[in-house]
Amino acid sequence: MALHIEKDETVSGATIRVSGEVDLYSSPELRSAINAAMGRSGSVVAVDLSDVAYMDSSGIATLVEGLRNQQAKESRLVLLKPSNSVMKVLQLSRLDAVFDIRDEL
Amino acid sequence: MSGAVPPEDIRLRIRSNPRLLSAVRGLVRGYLDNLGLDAEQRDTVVLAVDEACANAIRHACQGRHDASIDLRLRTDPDAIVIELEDQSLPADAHRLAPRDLTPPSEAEPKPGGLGVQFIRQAFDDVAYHSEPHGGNRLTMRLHHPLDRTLRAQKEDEGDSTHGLAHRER
Repeated sequence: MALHIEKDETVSGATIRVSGEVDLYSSPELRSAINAAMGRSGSVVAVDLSDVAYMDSSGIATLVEGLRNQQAKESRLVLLKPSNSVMKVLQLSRLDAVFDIRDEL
Repeated sequence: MSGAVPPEDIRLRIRSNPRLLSAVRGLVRGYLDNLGLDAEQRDTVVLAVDEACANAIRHACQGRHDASIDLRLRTDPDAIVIELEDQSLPADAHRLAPRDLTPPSEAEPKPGGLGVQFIRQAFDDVAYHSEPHGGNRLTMRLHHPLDRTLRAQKEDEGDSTHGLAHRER
């Protein structure tokens, strides 16, 4: 299932809706989308992961990179409604507590 | 109808192209479904095999897309065995070092080595062997009580001591 990314500009920043599979092949596309959205100072970048069917460690690394860039970009990264498969990988990584995970903005 | 059919070996040679990982996952998922693994354990193993292939592509094949990776899926009488081989130069020994499981603080999340951690979490035994002049082999074993029907069929084959492992050789 190919990766599909849609971006909506919001008053406070941007929402990136991700669907499909995030793996070694597709994660650079997600990285670019997050980096581009974090360009605006003070913005909240919400990554909607509710339709992600699969995520591997490269996807997790991409999200962690976004987290690391928060300070430099003066933005905030929020994970919206992670699908069960994403939640499971976050828990396996023991990184679920590190992210700001919400059901809605 | 005689119920579950014993799965045969699968041997697959793929190019070291990350684009193929999705197809590999589909194949492994189907193979494990045939073995009757529950969905949660199946997904954990699929993730681990994906990570092993991704590591081979990134480290052993150094990102080249034209190297070959051989994947073998098979069952022993007491385990599901998944082997990965490439003919590239030995990867660094630390490639298989387990990750510190201490939850990272927000200030310093450490995703490095996560793939290896997933592999170790999914399998009971993980063995890595490399040849000095090239060639890496990763053998991952999951001790799994095979589907009852499968066991019964193996016993029907006569030699329950050696079972499927013997037949495969």
